[in-house]
Parts: sequence; C-alpha cells; structure tokens
Amino acid sequence: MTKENSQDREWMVRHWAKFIREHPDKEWSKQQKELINSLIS
Amino acid sequence: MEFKKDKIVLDKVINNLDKLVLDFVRILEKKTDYVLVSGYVSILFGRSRISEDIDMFVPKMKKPGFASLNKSLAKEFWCINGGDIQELFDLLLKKHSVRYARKGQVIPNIEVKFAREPSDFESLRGKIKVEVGKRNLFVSPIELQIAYKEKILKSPKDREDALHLREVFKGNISGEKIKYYERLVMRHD
Repeated sequence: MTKENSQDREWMVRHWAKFIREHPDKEWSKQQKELINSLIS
Repeated sequence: MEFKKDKIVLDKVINNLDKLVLDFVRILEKKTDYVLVSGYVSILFGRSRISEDIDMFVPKMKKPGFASLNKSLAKEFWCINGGDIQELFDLLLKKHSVRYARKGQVIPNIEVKFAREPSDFESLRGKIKVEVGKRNLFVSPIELQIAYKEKILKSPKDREDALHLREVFKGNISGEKIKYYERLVMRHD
C-alpha cells in the first residue's frame, strides 16, 4: 500500500467514525447493513 | 451509541453478521461465559468492513461441559473442523480453535478458543456489556483491543480497526488503560 493510499484510507476511517459519533445508530448501521448483507446471506 | 456506567447501548439496525453472532451467543451463553474479541468488536461498533470469522474466548472447560455445549450448538450450527468430540476437545486443549458456521455454510464462521494468555483472561475479566436491541453481547475492553491491534497484530487492517475504535470511542476510553494493556500484551508476545 502506498503512503498516499494509506493516508486516504486513514482519512476515510476517521470520516466514517465521525459520522458514527454524530448520527443516530439507526442511520449509520443501515448503511453498514447494506454493505455487510450484500456479502453475507 | 449511549455510554452508561455498566454498559454501552447500541440502537443499531442488525446486519447478517450481527445476527449470526446473536444466534450463536443465544445458545452458547446458556453453557459458558464468553467474550468477543478482535475484528468483530470494531464491526459491531460500525467499522465498514466484513469479516469471515468472529473470534471469541471462553474459559477453559472440561470435556463433558464442552460436549454439552457442542451438542446444543449442533442444533443450528455445524463444526467445520469435523472429528468427534475428543478430537475437537483436543484441538482446544492444544491452543487451537474450533470453528462453527450455520448449517450449509462455511463462511462466515465463529472461532472459539479457550482463554490461555494473560490478555485473554483480561478480556474475559474486564468484558463490557453491549445492549443490542433487547439482547446483550459481551466484548473485550476497547482499550485492550486497540493495544493488541496496534502493538501485536499491526497489519493495515488491524491498524484501521484500532483507529476506528479510537475515533468512535473518543472521550470514552482511557489513554492510561491503553498504555497498561500495551505493556501487558507486549510482555507476553
């Protein structure tokens, strides 16, 4: 993984975590459910 | 996410990985104590990734106790390691794990291990109750997960899991505890 790629990913992790902190559980978990359920039945 | 004195309350929309864990634990908790560790802890609290296995520790048990647990689990899950109860029990005793999946599936699966390292016992001793809807799950202390992922596992995925936990739990975790757990996990690495 390049340094730039790693920094991009870190930024995204922080951004998503901020979204989780600032929004109701139902809101972020609905998005998480769509991701996970698309891969696991 | 609500942080209370004795628990964390999660009002999340349950996904299929959460459902697998809740279904498994519903059976397991009637037979033994347990604690969820590693990647699923990050996923439970919102990490945007999937995992093919869910790790948990249980206290070491005797063969009849494990046989009873295995029999109960067999109603809904199958043990993908195969073998008879003695072989499965021997696997657990030899510091390996046994893996259970829903019938007809291999992944995702739940990897069960006997606690044996100091950090495993610390996970069990300090486990946190997480209220998910009307159910409870028990997870390792967040600070211990961060220390373990940053100091022992150290892969990009694990570092991102640790960062996710640091960010989501900002203001609700202790830097001193992370340092304490760093010393604990590195002493026994």
